[in-house]
Amino acid sequence: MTKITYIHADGTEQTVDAEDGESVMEAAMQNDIEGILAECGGACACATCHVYVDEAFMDKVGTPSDMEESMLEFNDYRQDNSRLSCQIKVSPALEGLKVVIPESQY
Amino acid sequence: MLDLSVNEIVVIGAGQAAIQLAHSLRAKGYEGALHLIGAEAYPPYQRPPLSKAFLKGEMEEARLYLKPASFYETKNVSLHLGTEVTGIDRDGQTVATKDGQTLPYDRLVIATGTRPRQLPELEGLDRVQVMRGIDDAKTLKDKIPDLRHVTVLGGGYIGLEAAAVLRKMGIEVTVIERMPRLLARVTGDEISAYFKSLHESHGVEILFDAEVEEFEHAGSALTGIRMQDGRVIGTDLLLVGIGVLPNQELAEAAGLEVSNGIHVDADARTNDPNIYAIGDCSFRPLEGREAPLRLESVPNAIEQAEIAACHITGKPRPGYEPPWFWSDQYDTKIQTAGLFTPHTHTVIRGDVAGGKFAVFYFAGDDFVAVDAVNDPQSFMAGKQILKAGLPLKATDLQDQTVSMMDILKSLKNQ
Ligand SMILES: Cc1cc2nc3c(=O)[nH]c(=O)nc-3n(C[C@H](O)[C@H](O)[C@H](O)COP(=O)(O)OP(=O)(O)OC[C@H]3O[C@@H](n4cnc5c(N)ncnc54)[C@H](O)[C@@H]3O)c2cc1C
Ligand code: FES
Repeated sequence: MTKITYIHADGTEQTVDAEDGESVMEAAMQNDIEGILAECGGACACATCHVYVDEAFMDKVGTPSDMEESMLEFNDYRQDNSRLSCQIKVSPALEGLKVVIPESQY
Repeated sequence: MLDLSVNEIVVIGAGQAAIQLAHSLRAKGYEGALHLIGAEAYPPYQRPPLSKAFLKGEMEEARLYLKPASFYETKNVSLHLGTEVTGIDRDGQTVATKDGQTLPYDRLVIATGTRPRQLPELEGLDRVQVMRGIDDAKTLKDKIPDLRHVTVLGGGYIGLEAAAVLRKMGIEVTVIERMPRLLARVTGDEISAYFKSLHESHGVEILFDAEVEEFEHAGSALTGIRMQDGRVIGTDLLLVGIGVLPNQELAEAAGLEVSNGIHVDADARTNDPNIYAIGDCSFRPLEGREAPLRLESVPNAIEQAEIAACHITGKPRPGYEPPWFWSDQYDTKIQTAGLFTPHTHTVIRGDVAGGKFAVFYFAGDDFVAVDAVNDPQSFMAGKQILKAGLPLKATDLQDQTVSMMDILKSLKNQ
């Protein structure tokens, strides 16, 4: 189990115990986190699971694949720390990870 | 404004559209009773992985569920599983279930989805499988170790996805397609040709213009398929993927308008103002198209659930969303936005042989759809152009050194 905190656009925080091996999107689904629609269920096809990753974790979450990068490129709310949460795998190295959900997703 | 006299909402079906509706109704402030009645034994789940990651064994069953068990408690949603609705009484505003319950409603939402089309001559035969629910996928998965050869009847997305998974496991696969090309109902010639060579390069045999003469069986077990040209395909399993039928019989019996789906207006309402129909079972209008149509996709289920939730809670109708879809086969991802019919010509961008390209469809001057193969830029740009109704011209796409991002930007600035 790895603790992950989802920070909503209004500043409220929800911390969940995520299972290692699942994605940050799946952990959000399992805990009914608002703002992560995940229309395609993790196929990297919809970009509705977009989050901003806490700067301190940018190295640990790795770099996006070409596919993910292209999906992000077309997101109007893209920032340097943007990721698709379905493409981040939970592991003990991510203990304490914080991600912010963009306001446009509510 | 939220109509305070609405205190009982019943949803028939507990699939993708139903759960999105429940989510949206609560998010929009509806506090009354909310019943989801589903014939299947499982809580609302996503079907796309059934022919992809789940079939491969890369995804556990619990991950298919769209909401955790706690959702139903905290959001006060009554989930009636394994419960089939058998009748709608529009005058009394109640629905009846097979196990003898009667539930009253102020607003009723029909979200019954579709069922696979089956051939009468295959009824009662073993070694014949369709692919719609978790049970179908589980049955197929359990049989995999005993399969040497599978025949897929119908070259549509679901059959081809399953073919790709099975072939990767070393199983021989033959696809029987009645048309001269794959995916004929959903995409154009260029994409059909690409998927033909993709599957053939992985060793799938595809028969085109192929008509079955007879299904051969020993007792109740299917053993082979005799084609009209005389060839007999010996096979261990027949996977039938020849399209679906909307579950509209309840609506029809209640006197609602139906044809290829349950007729609804732009607010997802049927001809009874207290009854809505959403998702795969609905026959809906779409902005920019003269005739209504029935769409079969997760994004459509989500969009219509959102539309119905807005109407029920008195919120403005959400903005136009172009239809879109995705499919995964081997390492290929196709994403499509818009509808390719009718179209008059296409523009191809990218590297077809290298498996990274997009087909843009035009009807006269109008851009109507894009099919993007391993090319999310073209998909995302195309989807945004369709959503905003930007005037993309075929000539804008000619110069391939100009990126889709730059094309999108210049259209936005026009
Ligand atoms: C194998 C497979 C792969 C797919 N892949 C993709 C994909 O990659 N991308 C995509 O966008 N879409 C895909 N789809 C399509 C997508 O899953 C559907 O469009 C979506 O599930 C439609 O949602 P729905 O709620 O309308 O119907 P469903 O999810 O089918 O839910 C309807 C439910 O209603 C229940 N029901 C019916 N009648 C009654 C009754 N009388 N009483 C009680 N309950 C009843 C049914 O049992 C069912 O559980 C796929 C579908 C399948 C089967
Ligand atoms: S869930 Fe669709 S891209 Fe992440």
